[in-house]
Amino acid sequence: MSADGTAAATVARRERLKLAAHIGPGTLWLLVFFVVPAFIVLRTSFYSFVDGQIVPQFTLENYLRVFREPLYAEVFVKSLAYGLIVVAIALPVGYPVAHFIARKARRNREILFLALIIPFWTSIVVRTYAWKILLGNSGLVNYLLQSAGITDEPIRFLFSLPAVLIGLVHVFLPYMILPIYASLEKQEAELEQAAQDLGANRFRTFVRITFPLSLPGVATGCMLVFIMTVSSYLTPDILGGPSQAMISNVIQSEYFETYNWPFGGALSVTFLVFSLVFFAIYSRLIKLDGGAAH
Amino acid sequence: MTASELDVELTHVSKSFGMVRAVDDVSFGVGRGEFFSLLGPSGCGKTTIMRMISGFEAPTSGSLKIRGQDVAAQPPFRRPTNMVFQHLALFPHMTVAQNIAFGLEMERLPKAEIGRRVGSALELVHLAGFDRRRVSQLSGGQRQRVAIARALVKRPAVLLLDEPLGALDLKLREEMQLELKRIQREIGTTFVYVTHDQKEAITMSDRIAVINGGRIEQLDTVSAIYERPRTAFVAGFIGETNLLRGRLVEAGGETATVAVGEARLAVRPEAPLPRDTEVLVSLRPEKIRLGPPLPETANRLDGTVESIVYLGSHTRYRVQVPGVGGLDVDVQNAEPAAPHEAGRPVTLGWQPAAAVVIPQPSGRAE
Repeated sequence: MSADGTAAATVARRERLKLAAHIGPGTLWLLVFFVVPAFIVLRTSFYSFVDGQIVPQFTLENYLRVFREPLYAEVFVKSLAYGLIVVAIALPVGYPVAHFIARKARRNREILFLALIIPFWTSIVVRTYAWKILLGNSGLVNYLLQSAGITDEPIRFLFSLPAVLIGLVHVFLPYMILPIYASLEKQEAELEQAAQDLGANRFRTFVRITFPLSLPGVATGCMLVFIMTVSSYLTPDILGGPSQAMISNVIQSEYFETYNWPFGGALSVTFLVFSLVFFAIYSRLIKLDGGAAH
Repeated sequence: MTASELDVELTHVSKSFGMVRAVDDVSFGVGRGEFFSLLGPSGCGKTTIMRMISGFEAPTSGSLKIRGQDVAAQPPFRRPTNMVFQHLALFPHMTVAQNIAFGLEMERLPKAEIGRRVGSALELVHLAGFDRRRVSQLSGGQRQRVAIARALVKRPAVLLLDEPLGALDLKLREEMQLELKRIQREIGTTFVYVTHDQKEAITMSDRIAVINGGRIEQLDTVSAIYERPRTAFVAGFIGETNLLRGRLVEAGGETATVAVGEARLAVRPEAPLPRDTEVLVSLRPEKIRLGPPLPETANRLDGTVESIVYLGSHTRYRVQVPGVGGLDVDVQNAEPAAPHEAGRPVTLGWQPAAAVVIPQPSGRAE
């Protein structure tokens, strides 16, 4: 009996060790590089900022200021709006690409996939600067427009909303395509055939079967693109300039231009909370949608 | 059977994939209300034949008619056929009722009629009350029934079934075989069933087309396929058999004599064969009598019991006959104890009509 008990205890201990070995490294990583910094930001956001100095004295002033000055609400709303617009462009652009690779491309699938992956190996900075060259006053786009006689004067694309949106869609499009591709790819081929066998033409097969079953991929893609757009920093900085500043640019300037870490922290925390609430609602809606589909 | 009574009619149909000829000059007709099986090993072309009937593949040559109409130009969604897929292909994002209603919605039928027909389809497959269940909440057997109901609710001219029972365990599979047969009798729809399982085909079919290498080896009623196989492949693929290679040494009259090794066997060929024809003699294990021969038994061979396998309802003996080879013999276990022992000499006996003579085209490899 006692021998059995010891054996059981040994097994239990071994199981616990296995669990620790599995989740330990990841937990440690998150703790050191995410939880601790986030906690520091949270703590700093309640400090005072007096005469250009951070004073460890509790205050709510930073948060009050976030809500008091309309500039910040505007930037918040603008960032969220950019997120929605980029998603609204990336979804209809990305879905057909994903569908083409998953269904139509046979021999070229690997090449197309590579074309989709290669940008990940290139720094966002480089890719965004490429757009700066393409869209500049003496860039390729203006050159082509002028050569074709469509315009005499170069059009000023840079430092405008369209330039930022083009850059954002370009950078984040693969994050829309890949999850949709994955969900289309794993659909059983027999399902579409069954729909056709039951009298559905290609269009109705897509509307009733293919698309609804790809919704998890669509939801993931939209969420990824939205998160990354809203928190993007480089693209609006390089292609948009100060007039197109998004929330990350504002936070960055608080940290590294005015060195007001407490206020920068308050902006960060407020934005994080907004984001969490937004995703709670989003995932709730998606789940409801999944349950109530048809 | 006149042509107008045929629900499916293939005439010289072939299908090539690149250099591979998957279906090679196949012709057959399936009568109204018939349970017709395409039986053969995997890769024999049976599934390709079915996919051509359903419209997912187009024949390379030949004509294909459904209810007398050439369907070559019709895409799958316009054909009066419906299919029960190998993996069933139930729509996972829909309930049972929504799955079954899908095909009727595609016909744009009024809601009330859809509801009525879904209800009676569920009753037909004994799933009344399951309409709101999700597909994921069903057992394997219940899923089969939903797939059958979803196809039959469309009232197709032909129901195509592509090995739908493969994923079930033996017990459930046998149950579903009887269920399919019951459903087919009840509604009288023509069933075309694809399978590699000869027992399944025998249990359910009216007629079977045995397919091998893209061609029909034999098309016959179930009992004719079993009792009178026309090729060595059919004899070996359906049920179990002893194949003895020999040569016709005496022809004429009803019976002929075949020399197998040193033995002389009396046989009864279906059609008269010339002397010296190379033949295979197919002899089913259960047609051989083991033990003291009855006086009228024409064929007798003496041998030694090599091995004994007890199989419940019967016992299988392997008997070595000098100059002929090993023969399998089945003996019904009417009494509990097996009456023979390994190593003992025994006598095998059978009547000329018990064996089937399969002429071998000269030069054809086994």
